[in-house]
Amino acid sequence: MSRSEPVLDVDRLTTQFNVDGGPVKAVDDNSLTVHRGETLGIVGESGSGKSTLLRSIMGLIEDPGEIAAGEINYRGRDLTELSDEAFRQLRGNDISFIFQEPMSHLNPAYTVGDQITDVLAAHTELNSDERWERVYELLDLLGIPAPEDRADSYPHEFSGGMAQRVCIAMALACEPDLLLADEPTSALDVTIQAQIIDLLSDLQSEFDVAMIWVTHDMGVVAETCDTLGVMYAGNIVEYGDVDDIFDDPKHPYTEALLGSVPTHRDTSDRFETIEGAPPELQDLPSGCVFRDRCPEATDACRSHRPPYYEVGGSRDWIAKCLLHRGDPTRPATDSAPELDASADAEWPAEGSADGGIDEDPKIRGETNR
Amino acid sequence: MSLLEVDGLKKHFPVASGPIDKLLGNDRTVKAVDGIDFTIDEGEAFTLVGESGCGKSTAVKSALHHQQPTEGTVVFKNERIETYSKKRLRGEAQLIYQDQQDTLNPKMSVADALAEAIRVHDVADTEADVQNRVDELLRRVGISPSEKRQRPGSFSGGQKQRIAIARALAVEPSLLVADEPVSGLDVSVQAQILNRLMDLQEDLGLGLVYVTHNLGIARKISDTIGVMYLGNIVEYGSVDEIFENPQHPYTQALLSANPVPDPSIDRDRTVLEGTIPDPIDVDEHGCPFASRCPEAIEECTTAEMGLEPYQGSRNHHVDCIRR
Repeated sequence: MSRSEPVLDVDRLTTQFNVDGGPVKAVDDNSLTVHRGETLGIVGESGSGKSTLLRSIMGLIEDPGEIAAGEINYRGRDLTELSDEAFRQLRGNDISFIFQEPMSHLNPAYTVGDQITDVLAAHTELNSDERWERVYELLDLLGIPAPEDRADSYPHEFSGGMAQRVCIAMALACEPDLLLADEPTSALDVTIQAQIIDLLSDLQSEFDVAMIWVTHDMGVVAETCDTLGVMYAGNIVEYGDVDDIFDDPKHPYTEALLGSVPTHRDTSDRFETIEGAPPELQDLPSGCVFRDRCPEATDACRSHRPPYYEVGGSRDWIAKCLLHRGDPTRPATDSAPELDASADAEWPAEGSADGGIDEDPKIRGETNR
Repeated sequence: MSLLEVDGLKKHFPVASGPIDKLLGNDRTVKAVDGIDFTIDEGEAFTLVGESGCGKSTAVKSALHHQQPTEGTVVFKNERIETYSKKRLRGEAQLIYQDQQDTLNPKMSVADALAEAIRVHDVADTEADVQNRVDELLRRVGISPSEKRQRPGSFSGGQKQRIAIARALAVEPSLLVADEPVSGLDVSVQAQILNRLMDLQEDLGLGLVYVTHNLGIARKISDTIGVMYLGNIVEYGSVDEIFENPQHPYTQALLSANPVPDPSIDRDRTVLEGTIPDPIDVDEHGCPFASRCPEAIEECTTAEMGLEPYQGSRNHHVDCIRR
């Protein structure tokens, strides 16, 4: 894992939708970091806020949604401060995207070559001949046979897997620093998915790009990602190295989620299950968002919204879970948010008599406010 | 005792062609299912697995005569399936689909939908029995009977699928056919429903035909499995045997392409080149997988194909001349 300056550093981001009945936090105080050549996986079930998180970074949150708090630092610039025009310069050039449905992100009325040259014309100084040279180069790199012929094809003439390759070619056209992929292989068959996964891994090393890969598939995470954020009800409840988390998940939700994934190597009789269903974001329980389904929940989990705790004293592995509040002598500082002020109960002051909490972590914000 | 025997089942769809094509005899067909055999015993769970467009859904629909098959015989409970009346067949063999939005009547309460099925198929004597049975069915699938007066719209996707299972079981069928019943649902919800389904299947001794593209689900839910590619079952046998010792190059590639949620496994994957060919263009001769097969030789494009026992095994059949 590279320890250079991060390409992207999201700090305590909250994205909410202001609807009747008050704001709904689809992304609730989450932080993450991605370095060059590294892939961060964001995994979660539907409605967990993973796509909203990605769209916030893309600057695509529209009314009634808004970024209510936090910073999105891209190579030293806070994207939340950027004007629409400045963001347009960035998108497609420095930051680019791949989506789940390639066909709905290609214009059916133009050839794919035209669409890729448009991107190059908008963001580079290349002349027309150079742009077309670049298109052939990119299509070839993406394993599309006969690129000079295929550049003149329309999107409908491609299969789903081939159309996704075209979208990736377009995303890489300006050699971005950051690539955001929202379920890029979920609509594809498993043999085609394997092709795209291999291709993206190769291209990532070649372009040394930082990548965020949003998915619901733990198998895809295991194959593609270096770090992982597990989202539940708007919260990244666990964040850390992929190997560490898969080996010994710390948050009960991560553990349960890993257990419920069907795998063809699993020979047990039944699936492990998580009882119940995720809460509605408009109607979150007090305390921990997972407490109603958590087999290990205590009274304290009902009254306190957990901040981030370091796991095993490492800043690279954090969990929003009281059960892993860890070693109080090594409090999470940089990455841990203060207690959510909207939680029903206040975090007990140091030395509080609250029976549920025996060790009181020091968290940023508590001491300096 | 065998519950369902499918022999040489074919389902071809004509492709609309112009008058000149007709004149020249250039009528073309999509061979969605092109000659498949399988047998299910009472209480057995059989899964058809394959990628999109391989014909797995068409195969089960034609086997149960929801679509008239082009060719082939189907024997259900020792009688030719053509001899069953529609009502008798529905009383014995029930289907559940992926999208319950389309199959549950939005204007009917859950209790009414279940009670209707029970009355039509005469599986309860008195009205009190009908209501008791509705409650019992809902409890078995994990829905509180206190919610039975509500319409489908007030239930989540997972709950609707549970209700669909309850309704399918209401008529006391001996065979349940489930076509991707959980693929629209999140994994945590999937796991709950599949566990219920497996419990019910075992408790009631139901035959189950399960259709899925998900190899993880196939492994857990089935006793036997058929791997489909372009309208053919290319490998067939007990689930453990097929997953532990796959022989057909397509099965091998499919298993190797399936992502495993364990980052410590550094796998040497066989990545298949190309995509599934258009089922219109499939040659009548040779192996349907030859165009993408890493092991294909000249003969593969011409050979007579068919499932053969692998090394004389009774629970492992493979359709490949190289095995």
